[in-house]
Amino acid sequence: MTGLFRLYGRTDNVDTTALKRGAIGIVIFAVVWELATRLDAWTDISVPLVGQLPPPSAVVVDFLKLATSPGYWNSWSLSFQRVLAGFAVALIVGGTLGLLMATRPWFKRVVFPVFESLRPIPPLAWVPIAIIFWPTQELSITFVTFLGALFPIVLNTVGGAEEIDRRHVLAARSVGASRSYVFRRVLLPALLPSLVTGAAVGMGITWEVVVAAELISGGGQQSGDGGLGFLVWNAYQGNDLPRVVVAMISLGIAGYLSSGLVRAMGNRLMPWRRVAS
Amino acid sequence: MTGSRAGAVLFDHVSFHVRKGREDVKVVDDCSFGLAPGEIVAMIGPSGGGKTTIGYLLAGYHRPTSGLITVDGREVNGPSAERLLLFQENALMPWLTTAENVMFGPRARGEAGPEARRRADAILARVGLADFSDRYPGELSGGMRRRAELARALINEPAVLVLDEPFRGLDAMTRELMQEYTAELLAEQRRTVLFITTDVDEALLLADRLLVMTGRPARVREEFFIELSRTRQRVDLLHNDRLQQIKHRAMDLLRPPGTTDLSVVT
Repeated sequence: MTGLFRLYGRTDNVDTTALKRGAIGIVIFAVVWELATRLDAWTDISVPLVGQLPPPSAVVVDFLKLATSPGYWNSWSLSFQRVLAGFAVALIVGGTLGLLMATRPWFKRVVFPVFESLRPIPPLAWVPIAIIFWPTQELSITFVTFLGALFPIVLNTVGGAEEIDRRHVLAARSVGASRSYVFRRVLLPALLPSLVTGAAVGMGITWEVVVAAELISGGGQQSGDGGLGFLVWNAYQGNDLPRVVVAMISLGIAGYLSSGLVRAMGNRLMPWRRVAS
Repeated sequence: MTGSRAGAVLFDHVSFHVRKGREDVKVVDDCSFGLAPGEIVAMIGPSGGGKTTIGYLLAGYHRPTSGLITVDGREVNGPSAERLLLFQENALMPWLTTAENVMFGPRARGEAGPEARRRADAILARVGLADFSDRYPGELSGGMRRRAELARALINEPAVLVLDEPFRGLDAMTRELMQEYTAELLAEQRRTVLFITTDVDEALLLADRLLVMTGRPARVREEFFIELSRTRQRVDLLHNDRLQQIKHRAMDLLRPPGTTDLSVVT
């Protein structure tokens, strides 16, 4: 019986078959891409859309060139700082507001309507206000990324109130738990999955916002290391297509790493979710 | 530990109404009954008839609209560890392991010392979950979860235990095993138990006394003293005349008025 549960429940070891299949898929994708871009040099057929891209080999060559430039890594660091700063503040502010609204009906009645009326405004529409609000460009960008993550975190957490099982609260009250104990040991863990879902959605939006904000703002003072979003724009301006693709893939990897971070955080905080059905 | 808390329950002309829009719905109406200390009483009645509400009233989750509920002469006034209710279907906290669920009560009261831990281990062993103490509820079978919930309640030494259709949702096999298991566990304890069920056989297997309820609004229609030792077997349900008699009488009472009397067929 114990062995059975280990087999089904705890899948700590990575599924190597899935990993292999994923790697094969990526290799096939790269080969097809390479062929598509080279086809018109060998034959008369030019592949639409993909044919206009630089071949992946050129992208790799450009990446190797970039990898030795500190400016490129500085862009990584800059974008990550903006994303993580905005996200962290959103997690603290949004998590607190969300938990309060989910557990205090009167607080929700007062605050929620304000939230609902601000929510439909796209984060990027805040850019002019953000520039007026904050003394530096850095803070303005961080503020907009903060707004991008704030709404999904708050709304998901508030929505999690429906997941609270009233029987858990009653059972806890019966055995003598205080209000604060019920909050910490019953309400908080019940709301955690919704909070983490909101954080995952928020993290995705944060990257979208930071790229757009870097495009708009020109990425900062020094050109060339104004963040990964700025790198896309700068390369496009210089008509350097391989570099555009390198920057795009870098953004993809950065986004993947960030959501991996949220997932890892969630798994650490909620060990029971790894085993539940 | 129970000592001073004998667990004598009294429902004295208890009514409970809820407002539905402009209507005043009587869920429990002028309901009176008592439970002697250490007695296991099965409450049987049509589903949706207000039995769960009676359980909630005793647990202190509802306040009666009129009438008085007392335990050992003291009025029931809100939830208390003296009166614990086991909810219908799984109510273990999914974020706590089996052992943590069992320790929830002692921890909440700040009594999580080595003594409480020893008692938790003993109870987990008694319900056969010693090997599953560090598992989450999501990893347990339906029957295991019910036993974990029994353990979670019993560690608090309640004088009164309310079991609200505890075997609902279990498959037939597990259900029978759990009935026998619970019968055994309750027989060895001196604890007042209100056992809410819709299954006459289950009631006859476990209880000292049977309360047959009316449909909504709930009140006691008739009671039967079973007057047999608690070590009853499932086969007794088929061969014991007294159990057979009570069963037929109870089934007649539970049959909705107007349906044909099927007892002549059997």
